[in-house]
Amino acid sequence: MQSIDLTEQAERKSDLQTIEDVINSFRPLLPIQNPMPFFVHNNPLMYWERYSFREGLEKAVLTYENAIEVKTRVIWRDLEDFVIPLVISYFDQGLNRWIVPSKKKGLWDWYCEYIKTSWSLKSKALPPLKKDLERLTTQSPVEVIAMCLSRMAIRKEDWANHLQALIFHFKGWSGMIQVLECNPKVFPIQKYDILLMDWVAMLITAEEALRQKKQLSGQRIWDFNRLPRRKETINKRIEKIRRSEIEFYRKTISQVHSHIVAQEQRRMTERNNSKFAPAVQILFCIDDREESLRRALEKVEPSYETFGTVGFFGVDFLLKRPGHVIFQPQCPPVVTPRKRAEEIVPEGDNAFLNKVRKFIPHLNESRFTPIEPFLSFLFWPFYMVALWLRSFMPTTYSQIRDWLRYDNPMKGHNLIRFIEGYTLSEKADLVRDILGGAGMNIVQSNLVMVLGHAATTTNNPFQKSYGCGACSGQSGFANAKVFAEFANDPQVRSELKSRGILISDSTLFLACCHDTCSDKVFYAPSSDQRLSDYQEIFIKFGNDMKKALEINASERWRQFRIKSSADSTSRSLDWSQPRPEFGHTGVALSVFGPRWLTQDLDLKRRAFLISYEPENDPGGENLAYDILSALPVCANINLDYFTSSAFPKVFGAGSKLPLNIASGIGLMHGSKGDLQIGLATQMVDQHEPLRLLAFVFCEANNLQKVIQKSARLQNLINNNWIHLVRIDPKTLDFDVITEELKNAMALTQ
Amino acid sequence: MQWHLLSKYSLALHGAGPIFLALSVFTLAVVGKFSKNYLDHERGVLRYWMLFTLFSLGIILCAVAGNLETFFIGWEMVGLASFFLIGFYQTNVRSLENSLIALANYKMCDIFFVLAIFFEEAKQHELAGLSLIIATLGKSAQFPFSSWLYRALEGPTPSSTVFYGGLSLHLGAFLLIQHASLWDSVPSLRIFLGLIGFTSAIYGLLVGSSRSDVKTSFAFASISQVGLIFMEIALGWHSFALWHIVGHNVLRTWNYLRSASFFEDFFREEHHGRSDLLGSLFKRLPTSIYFHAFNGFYLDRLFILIRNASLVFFGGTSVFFVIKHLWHGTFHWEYLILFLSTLLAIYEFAVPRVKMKQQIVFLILSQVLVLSSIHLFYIDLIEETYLISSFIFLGGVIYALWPALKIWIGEGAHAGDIYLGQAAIRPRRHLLYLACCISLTASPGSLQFFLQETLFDDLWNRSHTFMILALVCLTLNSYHFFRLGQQAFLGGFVTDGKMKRAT
Repeated sequence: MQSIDLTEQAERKSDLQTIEDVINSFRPLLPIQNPMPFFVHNNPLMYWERYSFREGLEKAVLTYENAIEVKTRVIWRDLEDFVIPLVISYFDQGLNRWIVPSKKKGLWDWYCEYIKTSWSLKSKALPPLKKDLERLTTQSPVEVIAMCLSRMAIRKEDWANHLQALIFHFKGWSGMIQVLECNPKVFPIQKYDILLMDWVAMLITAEEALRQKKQLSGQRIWDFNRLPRRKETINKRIEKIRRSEIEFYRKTISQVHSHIVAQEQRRMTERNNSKFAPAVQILFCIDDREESLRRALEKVEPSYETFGTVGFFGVDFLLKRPGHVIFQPQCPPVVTPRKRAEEIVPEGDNAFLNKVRKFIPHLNESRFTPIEPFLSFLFWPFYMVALWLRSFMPTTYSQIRDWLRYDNPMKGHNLIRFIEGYTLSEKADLVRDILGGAGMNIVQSNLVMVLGHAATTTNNPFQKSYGCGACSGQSGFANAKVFAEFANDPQVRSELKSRGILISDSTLFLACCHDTCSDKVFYAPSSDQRLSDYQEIFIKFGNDMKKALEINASERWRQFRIKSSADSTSRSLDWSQPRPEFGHTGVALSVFGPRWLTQDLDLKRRAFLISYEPENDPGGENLAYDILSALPVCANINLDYFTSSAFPKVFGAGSKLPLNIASGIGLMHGSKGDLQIGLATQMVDQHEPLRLLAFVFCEANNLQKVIQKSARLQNLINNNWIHLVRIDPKTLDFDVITEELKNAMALTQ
Repeated sequence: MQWHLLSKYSLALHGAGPIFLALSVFTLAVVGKFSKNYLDHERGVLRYWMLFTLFSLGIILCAVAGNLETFFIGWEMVGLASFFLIGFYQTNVRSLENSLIALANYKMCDIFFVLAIFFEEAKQHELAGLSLIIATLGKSAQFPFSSWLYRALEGPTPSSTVFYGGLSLHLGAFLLIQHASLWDSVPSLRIFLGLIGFTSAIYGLLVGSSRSDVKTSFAFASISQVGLIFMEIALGWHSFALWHIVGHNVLRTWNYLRSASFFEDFFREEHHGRSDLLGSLFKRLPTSIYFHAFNGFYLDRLFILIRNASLVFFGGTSVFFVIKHLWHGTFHWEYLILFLSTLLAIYEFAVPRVKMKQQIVFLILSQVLVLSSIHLFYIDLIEETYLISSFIFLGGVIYALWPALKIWIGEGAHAGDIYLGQAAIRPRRHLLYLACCISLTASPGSLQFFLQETLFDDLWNRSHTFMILALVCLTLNSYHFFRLGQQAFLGGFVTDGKMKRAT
């Protein structure tokens, strides 16, 4: 008798182990997407990078599409109705007035308490659950899952399929819970205990209860019959994409090649003429939206020299904006910020105005405050005027609003005060990495403009994805200010000499910020003596910039079907505009090399331009910094756009119009439904899905060394998730590194 | 009997009308401007604008209506536009289902509205007032008819704004102010209204505070505020309530339109950690109340219970009606026919969604029977009446049969195993069906509507019960027509085996 018990026990234990293993095996497959306030571009197919592009994409689509059998589809809606509001309320980030203490016990206990207290009137799932309550509370979630699976008469070999169908039906929430479990730091305001296991247990208990009610026990919820047909259509789509890709690559490579050869010849003739140091050098972000501005600026004044570097300028810190409660990272998500800082508004002298400024935000957030009826009663003329202005005179409205706002990140005079400061050597290292990486080993110009970028959009839940990706979607102005301050520091400059960077004493670094959406540039004021000496140069630069911005604004809309060159700048202020700008739409290229390679070449705002000078870098350290900090980011952005536009129903967020914000974490359609992943249709509908094509101007052995350093980069390149072409600095030969592209090029030639 | 189709309709700006008109025009202008950019390059823009225009017409008609009959036309137009806009995303099953829930609610309101008109004509002020109040409760989502409101937020944001944040939600309150004379003189009705308003205010506050997505919490905040407005109306502060409507409408329009900018103020100090009265009050409440509030105090289920109870009551009444006339020896065949059609209309609620053919059979039988019972009622009348009533009968049969048969014969598109509906391949046929629906169900704007109103006037004078039964039966059928239309033409529903054919 006892021996039977023992074997039973052992079997039970192995069952639980199996379930845990199965659920853990799904973890890497789930979409990795931060809560909306911390949105960063990410490759949703990160896990599948270990497979070749084609195989991985097919597998990913099939997993996410989650073929579910028809007959049980009715259950899914009941399940959503039951489970989704619960989890939304559990994760509440401050939308509720009513904060329940029992949330602290974790999702599973909260769920049990919900079942205990609710009347069974609410849902068909509740009566069976209430009957089972004792077992639910005494057993652990894994045991509950095992119990439910055996009760639904699902065979052991089908467990994995069943759990997969269940988890991936709610892929948005499952992914979010997985992210929050692994990285509780991304909880915007309040942290809650959360385990993926609890969530799965919650789903499966509800499912089992609903099945009992509908007498559907034993039915499969997945269906592989559709698989071959589905595979066929997916392959057709991929094949179509690949054909257009190859055509584009071929065209681009030949275009770039002929351009580089011509440029080299011009350089040979010009080399004899002695070269003066340029008056102004500008450090741009690598962002593809800055490509056209750089081109325009060089066209307006050819003597300006522009560089591309990662837009957080190496300054990794957490920043607290004026009037905000939390610190937000100002660096790429792969970098862990080391320091914390606060943005401070210089106090205005008008105390009354400041009070008004503090009061204004209250008018926007009044739900369930006792003052709401009074607000609607007393302040309705204000709302009326605001509605009218915002709809019919957005420019006037935004002027008034900017005047009444105390936390405008685009204001130049805001100061950045570090709570924990950088040491001298840290500062010098950071400036060295940026200037060295951009190939600016000797800086002799009068002005160096450090140009961060940001996007002012309004009424846009995807705001973070329009901002500077290298600053985690924030404005890059703060980083530019800090970098300029460091680089102007005489101590840092003397320290830099030992690190091989020479900055002349007459050089002044100035911070400014480009608003990619409204095409304006904001300058940070400087009290430096040198600025008054360079007044003339500075004013000329301002005027040139204005001209360049005009050219840029008109170019921005040229490539799109939507004709809107006239109002392209006012779109940023329009609260009804689902396409304030097109973000990274069209992104397909990335060039690591000196500016002359692609100067005057119209890359149509499709390229990340990263400055790199192989002459200064025999050992390849600068190359390593450039590639490791920039290439994964470029790939992430590109693949995010790629997946959302190639398979919008699988990886995209759908239309922006009915979106609703759930618990301050994510977006959903309407009142109930799964969280949406990926990018909205309005953001990608002009995007043509293309994988990234990266040109690297460097020595072969240096490149090999860099690729060896990063496992992810190896996966990306070996499995053709991005394409890499090396340009030899001496012979200017093109060396296609990626296998797939090499074969395709050989075929077409 | 006389046929003055338009004689009882009148337009007049009176009472609260001018202010509501100005408010409507303002809100429509702002939301219209918003929608222009917002729906740019979206699929179904034309449909959106058509429905938006229908809504605008309806709301303006309400504002300038001279009497209840005219108001009813605007009221119906608003309801119809609302139904279609909730189901704007035609392949999203959830939004289609929710639009049906809203439609059921609106149809309930319609019945009471029509009853209010007739009771008023019969000088039964208590009943007229009560019917009017119940009609407004449904339209303004007050307790206990609140649960549909948050489900209705499935359409594009501007349409949610203008319906559930702004104008449509306040239409009930506006109606009460505008026609206060109907119920104002009855103290018990005022107390009833005040209590309902108070309950709704508390209900909205509790439920909204436990829900955590932006639009839903706005919906419950609106219920709460409209509850306050109802209380003000009950207290007799009509102009105060009117200005409250204006203020709340403007505030909520602002809130809904900028609901996407939630993350802009999300990290502000003002948003978090402010000390407030309610937060501390909630802390003292036990957790169990939180969960009950989270469940919406079970109003979803209550709504279904009320619906079923009233269906049973309605069936019982028809049985009683027939027996009574048999007993008294005043039996007519049309009574039996009406009884049958009533039973069919009720039974149709029990027909599962997937059995489309059954639905078609029952629906057509029921509609034909109810129309023929009305028709039989007039068989002894003068020739002119007879002609017109048989026109209605024939028109109804043709309207109903033709598209229904087409559904039967035709087949929809499939994507994998999901039935996409006929609209995916034959959008024009869908439009035709809707046109037939609108006409057959006597929606305002169609000739049938004016005929039916006149007929009902006459029926009312002959037999109250017969008229009410016929009205309810027709309303139920009109709900089923729209339901069937969704089922057959729009996507996402699961079909039974026979409908599923490979494309």
